[in-house]
Amino acid sequence: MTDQEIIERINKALAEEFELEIDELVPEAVFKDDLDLDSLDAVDMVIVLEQEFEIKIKKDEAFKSIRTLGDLHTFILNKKDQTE
Amino acid sequence: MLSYLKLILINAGIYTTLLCWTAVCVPLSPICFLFFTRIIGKERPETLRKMIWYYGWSCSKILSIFIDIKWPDQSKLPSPCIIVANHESFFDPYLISLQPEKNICMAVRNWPFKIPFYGFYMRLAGYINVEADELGDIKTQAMKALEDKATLMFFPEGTRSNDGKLGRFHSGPFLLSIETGVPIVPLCLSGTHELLARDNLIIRPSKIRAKILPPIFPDEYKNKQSAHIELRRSVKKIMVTGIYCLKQSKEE
Repeated sequence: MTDQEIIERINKALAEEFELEIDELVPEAVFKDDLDLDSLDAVDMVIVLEQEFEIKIKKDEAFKSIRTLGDLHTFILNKKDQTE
Repeated sequence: MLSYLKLILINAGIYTTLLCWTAVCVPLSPICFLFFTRIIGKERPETLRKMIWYYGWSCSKILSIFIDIKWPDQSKLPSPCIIVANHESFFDPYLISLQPEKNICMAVRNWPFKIPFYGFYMRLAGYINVEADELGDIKTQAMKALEDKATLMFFPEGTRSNDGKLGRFHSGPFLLSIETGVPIVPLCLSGTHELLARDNLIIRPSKIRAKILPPIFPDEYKNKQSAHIELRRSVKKIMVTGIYCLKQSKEE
């Protein structure tokens, strides 16, 4: 799977989980300010991404430092690299 | 003029009696807790959960002196189950006694755990911190509560509604339902937004009504793609209708 395909899967999963429009999901989008997602949504994010990519996500420092959708893309791409 | 007087009486009455009752309960609760756990030999989390239920029930009874509250007729829920309720007001967690199950394990955000005394009891009661804990730990705590015959309770919106309308649902309770096979029981509350809206301190007269809807079993969703999302959508749709019917029935 290419990086672009992974990014599209992340966006599709988030759009479905959080009832967002795909157009809103640009890498610069800040979760709190632009997408109206808060720390409780982080739990749902973990649920949906663990299911989508069959990976384990810990709410460690790397995860907590995620602010934008672009940060999340990079985080998941790194996770996928580590598991492959 | 009369309505202002009524408002002052309601606010003074409710705040004073609830504060006095809480001041009585605070020193009384450790004595009750030690009696039930040390002398009668009851389990600690279950005892505390039931004590919290009785505290909520007694506060609701105090509220009902000043406010029109009607308890639903239903006296039994499927056991175990996951209750999901809409969240419009500060008083909603007190009004959990509108449903009959006493051994309730609530899923709560991080900040209530920081309230002195309340937070300590919530931890002892095994309440789940859905904001700070890891997903795996949340699931483990929920499973443990279900094994202990507790009923899980969530406010799936995660926070109080700003406008009294049902907000977006979080996935936690629905994922747990899919993974454990435990049914969801929707509890629809009406009138609590009018009673005390978010960011408000003035309590206003209101008719509080609640309806417990039939359980929704996760079996038919299990094999669907994004099963928990499908279940979440169905429950929300049913609750929107349930709350609407409740509001209509109040106006008749």
